[in-house]
Amino acid sequence: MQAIKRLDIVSILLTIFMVLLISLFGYLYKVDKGIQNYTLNHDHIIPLELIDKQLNDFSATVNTLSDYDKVNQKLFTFQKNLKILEENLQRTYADNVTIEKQLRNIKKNYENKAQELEYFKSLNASLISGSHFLFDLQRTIADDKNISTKVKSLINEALFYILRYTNSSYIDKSYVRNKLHELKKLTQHSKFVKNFYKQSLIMLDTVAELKNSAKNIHNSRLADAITDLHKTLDTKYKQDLAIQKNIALLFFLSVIIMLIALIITHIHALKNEKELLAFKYAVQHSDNTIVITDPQKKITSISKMNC
Amino acid sequence: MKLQIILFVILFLSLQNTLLAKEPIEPIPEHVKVDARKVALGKKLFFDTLLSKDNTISCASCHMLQAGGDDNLRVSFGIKGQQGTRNAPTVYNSVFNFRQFWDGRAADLKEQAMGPVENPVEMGNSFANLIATLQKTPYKQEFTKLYKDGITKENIADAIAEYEKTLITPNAPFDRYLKGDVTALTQTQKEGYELFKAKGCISCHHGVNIGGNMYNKFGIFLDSNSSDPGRYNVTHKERDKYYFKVSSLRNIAQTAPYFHDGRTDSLRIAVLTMAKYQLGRKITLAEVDKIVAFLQSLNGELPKDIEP
Repeated sequence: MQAIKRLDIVSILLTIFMVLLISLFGYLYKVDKGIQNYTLNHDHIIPLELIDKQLNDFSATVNTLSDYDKVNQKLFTFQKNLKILEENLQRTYADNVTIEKQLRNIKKNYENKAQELEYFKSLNASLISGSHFLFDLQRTIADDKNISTKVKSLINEALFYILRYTNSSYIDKSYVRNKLHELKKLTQHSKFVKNFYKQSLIMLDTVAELKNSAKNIHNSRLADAITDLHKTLDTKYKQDLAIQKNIALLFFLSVIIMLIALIITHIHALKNEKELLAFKYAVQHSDNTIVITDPQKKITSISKMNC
Repeated sequence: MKLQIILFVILFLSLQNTLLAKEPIEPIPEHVKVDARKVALGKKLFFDTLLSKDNTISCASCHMLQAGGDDNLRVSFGIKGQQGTRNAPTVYNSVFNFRQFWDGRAADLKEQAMGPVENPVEMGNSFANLIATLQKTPYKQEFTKLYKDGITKENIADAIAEYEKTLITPNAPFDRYLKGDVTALTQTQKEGYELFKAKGCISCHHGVNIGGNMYNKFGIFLDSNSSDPGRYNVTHKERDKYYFKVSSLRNIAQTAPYFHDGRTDSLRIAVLTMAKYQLGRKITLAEVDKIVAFLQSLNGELPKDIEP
């Protein structure tokens, strides 16, 4: 109690002011950390969205020889970004069930998509390598004088429809299969025609599976899963920003209050100083001798006029 | 006639990516970034039989670096003369494979290095036992210098994987050809490469490792009579039956026998087998010889210092 009495109001105000400043500094550090975390999450979630789109684009390259090393590199980069994102989120939002669930959802959808991509790669490679033989057979049959024009024409037509079926969705598989059945009746004419028929059937099934695989890749829910997490992180960041704004406002108001308190104290001090100066003047110019003593009656001050 | 013209236009458009694109195979880089201290430790472990339960088998037992990086056997042998079920793939250039093992069950070299130690028909050991053994050797000090947590399963695999990253074979004649040295290949080899592309082999064997970047079914057009279901063992999905990682063709002339079951020692038969099962076609022996000549141009320079 004695100690508090000894503290004047200015010292208390200054101490509170210092505490406020230190808290503000600490809070700014926390805000900065939040920004860094958001940037880090953002920097790793954007590549996930981009790679997902690139993988969808890759699934549209049916019957095209692509560099699978590059596709694998994209998958590797996806996994790397996802791992960093997961570690950072586990650190920042350790107990957030929604984020944890959304991360699991991304991982599950990614695994499904990656598996489907592997299947797509295999089928696409099989289609390309099988196409070479089909084209070679078509050329051999075209040059074979023992094969009738009717059969050659049917072979060309069948190949035409297989290629159309490969590259567009306007032709139905059953339509191409019917064309091949027409060819089946003529396979006894030549072993090349028989080979062409057999190879075409396998190719047709491969194309159908490949298209189905491409569709599965395209219909993957991975993009939605990433978007969900992205939205949650954005919402959380906006919420944090709103809280930060309120806290900043609170700091501002506290500082203003402190400032007003200091101004009032200062005005009060000025008033006291003025009164003291007047008192001093009065004492110094008094005709009487004024002696000020301490409680032990020892003289501590005496008016100058009598010195 | 009109249909024929349209057909040829479509045919050309379909193949133009193959015909007009830059070469679908890339040369192997001459260096891979590694930690030299881990490499030194990994090398010691790679050649050390301490890894196996009875101290008889090391990584180098199945991956002989002077003999193509594999064991030249149909299937490998482990401790107590036990026979494995698959042909040992070469360790050379395995860093460029997108997955490890024939069925791709390991994502990278580190994961792969953990496999054989605990496989009962390979090294037949356990990591708990191996760590306890290594703790009593100078390895303890070496691990402590490199890893904060000393000897662990992860760190053993990490060191071995780091060494395996250095086992690359750059500057094969075909790599030099790709880099612009037109004299690096003979005329037959060049023709073999053109055939390799024209017959469709390139659709699976491309990229820096000329394969090793995808799975495919062994027996697309015909049943390949494989008793091993391949990737099905990992995924248990029906559609993955008989799917295997497409092998790299680098140093292929030195890594017989071929295929996951080592069914043939002859590279010519291997090419014919591929044509039959994977391309669904026959190719002439003259064509096979040219493709084999091309495959022989894929033998690269062995790394220096591959002795134990």
